Amino acid sequence: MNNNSYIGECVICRQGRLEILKEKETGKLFIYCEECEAEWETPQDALINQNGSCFKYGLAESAPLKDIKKAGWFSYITERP
Amino acid sequence: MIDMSRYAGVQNPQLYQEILDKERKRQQNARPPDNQKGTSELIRAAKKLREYAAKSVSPPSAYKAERPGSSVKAPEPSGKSAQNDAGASKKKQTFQLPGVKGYEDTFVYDKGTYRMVKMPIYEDEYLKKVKEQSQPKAQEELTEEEIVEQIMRAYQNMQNAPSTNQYTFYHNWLFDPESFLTDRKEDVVVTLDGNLGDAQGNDFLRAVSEGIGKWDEEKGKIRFVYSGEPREEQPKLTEEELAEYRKLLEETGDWRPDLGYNEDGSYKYGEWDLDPANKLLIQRNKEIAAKGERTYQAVKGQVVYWPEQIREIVSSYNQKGTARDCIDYETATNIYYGYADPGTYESLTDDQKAAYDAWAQLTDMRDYVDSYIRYYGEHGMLNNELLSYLNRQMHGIIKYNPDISNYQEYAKSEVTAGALNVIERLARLGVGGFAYLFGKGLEFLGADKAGESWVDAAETALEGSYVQEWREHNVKKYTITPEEQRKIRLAYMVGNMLPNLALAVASGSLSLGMMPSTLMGTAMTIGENTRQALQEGATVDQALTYGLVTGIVDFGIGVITGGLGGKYTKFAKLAKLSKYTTDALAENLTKAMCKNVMGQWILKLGITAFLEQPFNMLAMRSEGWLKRLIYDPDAEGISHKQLQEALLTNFFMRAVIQGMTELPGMIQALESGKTDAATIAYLEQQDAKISERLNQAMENFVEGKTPGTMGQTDLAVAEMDANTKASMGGNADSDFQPADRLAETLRMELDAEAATGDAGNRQNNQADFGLEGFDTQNGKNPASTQDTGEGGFKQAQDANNGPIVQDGSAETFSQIFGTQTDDGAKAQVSVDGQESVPSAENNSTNTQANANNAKSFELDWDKVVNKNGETRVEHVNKHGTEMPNKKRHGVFNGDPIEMTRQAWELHEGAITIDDGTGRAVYIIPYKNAGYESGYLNTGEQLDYITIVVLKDTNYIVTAFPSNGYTTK
Repeated sequence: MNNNSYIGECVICRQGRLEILKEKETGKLFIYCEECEAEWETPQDALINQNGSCFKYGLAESAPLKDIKKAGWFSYITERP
Repeated sequence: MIDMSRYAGVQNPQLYQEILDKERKRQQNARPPDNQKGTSELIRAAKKLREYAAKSVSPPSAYKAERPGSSVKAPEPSGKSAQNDAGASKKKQTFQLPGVKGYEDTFVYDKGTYRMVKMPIYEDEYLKKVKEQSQPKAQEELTEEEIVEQIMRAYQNMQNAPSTNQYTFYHNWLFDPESFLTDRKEDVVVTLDGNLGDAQGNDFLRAVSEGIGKWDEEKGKIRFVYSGEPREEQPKLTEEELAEYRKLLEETGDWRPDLGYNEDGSYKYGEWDLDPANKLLIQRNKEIAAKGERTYQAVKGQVVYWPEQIREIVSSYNQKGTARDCIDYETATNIYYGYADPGTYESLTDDQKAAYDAWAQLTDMRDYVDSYIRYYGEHGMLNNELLSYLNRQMHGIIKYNPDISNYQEYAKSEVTAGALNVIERLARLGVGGFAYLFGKGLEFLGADKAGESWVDAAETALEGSYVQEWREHNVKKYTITPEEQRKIRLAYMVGNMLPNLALAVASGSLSLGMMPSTLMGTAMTIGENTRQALQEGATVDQALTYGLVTGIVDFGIGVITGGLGGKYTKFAKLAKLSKYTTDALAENLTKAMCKNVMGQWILKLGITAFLEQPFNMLAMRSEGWLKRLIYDPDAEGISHKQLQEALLTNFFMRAVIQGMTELPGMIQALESGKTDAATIAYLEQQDAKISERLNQAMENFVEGKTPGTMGQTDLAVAEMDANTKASMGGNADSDFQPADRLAETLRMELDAEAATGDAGNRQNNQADFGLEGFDTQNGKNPASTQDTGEGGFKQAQDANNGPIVQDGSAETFSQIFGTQTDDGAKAQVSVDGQESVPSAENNSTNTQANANNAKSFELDWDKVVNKNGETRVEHVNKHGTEMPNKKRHGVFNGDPIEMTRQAWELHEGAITIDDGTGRAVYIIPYKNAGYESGYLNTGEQLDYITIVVLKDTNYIVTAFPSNGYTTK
């Protein structure tokens, strides 16, 4: 994924960065670890690893900034290229 | 009567009637103006308004174009010459009031400009009040009656002006900007301007003004002058007035040679009749003089004692014996005029306070005299002599320093010079270096002359410095003494640092580490030292040699002291330098001294910078040796004082630059730390839950609820992992008896609880998931935790450093306790807080089977494809290349796929963690599996391979070298 918005480091694998993605089919935003493929519905869940899932979401792409802002997740972003 | 002419086109009778009713109602409801006198006259004025408005009268033209050559223009005569094209609207002029805060000291009348002298002494409170009362709300639309009311109010205020002959400007938006009133004792001149913005508005004003003028014939003639229109009376200046007027114009710089008198005494500029404004200027001047006189009369009783008071103040100050200049001029003026920080006066010493108090009393008087003279001119005792006397006395207490601003300006210029010097030096090095090499190349090829000229050009480029010339110019410009120059040299050094700081911030953001800053520093060293050598008489060859050698030394210091990082990790690693850099040494020291991450970082910066200084000292000392070796056998080395100063500067620079470089990473680390704190709290909570589950398991065991608990001890022992057995100290399960087993279980549980509690209390605890606390004291628990002192959980290892099963599965449970349980409660560690699945739901047999399947089958690389279509092979292969822009990114020391396969073969005994998202994470020991390429702990050797698979399967999700989940 390019031009990603990262919110921090994955607590599970400690390698991957947590990205905000948008599922193509539903348009829903979710958090995803680029390394271990873990998923969460909200940044809060992702940062403390609760209610996680795996391969629950389908094809996805980097969430546009406007969608991130709309979801109220902009403040979580720690890194954007 | 209602004027319905404009509705003549309305055909609909019903609509017409409605409009008529509305007009009637409007007329009835129209508020009569609030006028205390002459209501009938007001009505008459309003009537006249309508008559005028009904006509289409061209508004009077604006005055002619300004006279060239002067920004301060004499007022132009009104009248014929000022007639302009019809329809031209009046240009809005600015208008300021004297004595009112926020207004400047000039105002514009028409196109002319009168200079108004400041009146710092008298605040025109009356005027302010009047203004407040009469100013309507902005952008309020007024009815005709309200406009009349405004004018009447203005007129009343004029009537009510105090009879002190005080010059009062009345500012009303209707009259704005050119209306003003003189003292009512004299002819009142009200000039109205077309502020209503259109011809009808102008005519209205004229109509009303004429109406008012006719009312008040008793009080004095109110002459209304409408811009551009000829007046009935054209009073001429008397000789005296003309002379005075000329003098005023000369003072304002507006007098021109063609202005003057004819032989008959009339003005040369014949049509220049005295405009009321002209007369007003003279009157204004008289007013000022009169006011000055009044002021003087009011204060002279006090002023006469001032010389004596001044002597007393000075004498009293001198008797205290306070040294002169115990407080500087800048501080004193800042305190006096209110620019100093709060508490500045209180922070002064007693002597300083005494000096300031005396000086301030004199300043009060000095300012008064100064203001009076500037506004009214000298008068009596309020003269320049008194002013000078006061200035001298003040100077005797606190030395007047007109150069304060110079000093500050010079300091600013030095900062700029320092920054520009870096840029210029680098540019000259580039240009000069190229020219030198090119010249040498030409010489080598036989073109000696051409080559020589290029080398000469190189010398010029390398030796010159525009910045230095500018600095020398500034010394003269700001009259800076050598002593002051010495004091301000820090400003130049700060400026020198700025480009490097900017580069440090930029390279930190891009995770380039210290390399760019190190390289810039090296280039500066080469450039500066080359220039210095040239100035000291070295040839170009010698100078460049000297510069390069010192540059290499400088770079070497950068390498030794941790000036590498980021992308250059591999080189540092190859050179086996990374562990021995001052950076790494400092990090180890700080961890022992401070547990707080931020504190560690700050300490590390300081220690790194400190550890670098011996090397810097060596480098600076070596410059002297190199000079003697290369171009000047008699060169002196750096003095002690210079060395001290340089080391201090270098210490500061290094700490700041490294801090700027690492700041982005630090911020991100701190953000992660917050996450970890939450995780810590969560895990402590999980510890309690695990203990509770274990207790439940024990109860089940005791009550015999767990099937197959008896009689299979031997089998369990036989199936026990060899490493587990070894870590248990070789205790065979045959040693366990059921009764003893319970006692052992209970005791171990108590020990485990204690260990768990300790783990939770560790500072800076970034506990990984996983079971923290089965105590190893009895040697019976294979999963021993090691308190690393960092609050972490290291993978338990047996004596042979082999992996130890610790997944809390039923199989392990039975192995540990010498029992075999099928569906005992699984104390599965869940990182996500999910309750561990009850044994009834998690069939141990199936688990066993799946585990066996997973063990026996190789990894399946094809089942999982992620959201952008990336295969697992592609994903794992990413760990074959470095990613320094990530915090952590392990890189395999070999083929990632092959190494992962090898590690998987050993996964049976690895730490396994259910991450709560349907995957299992295996942490498999693998010596020197790879190294860290991320910006945290770059270059660290990684001795584990982490493999993530879908739970109970062999479908690989990812694999990467790791450090085994320590807190790093």
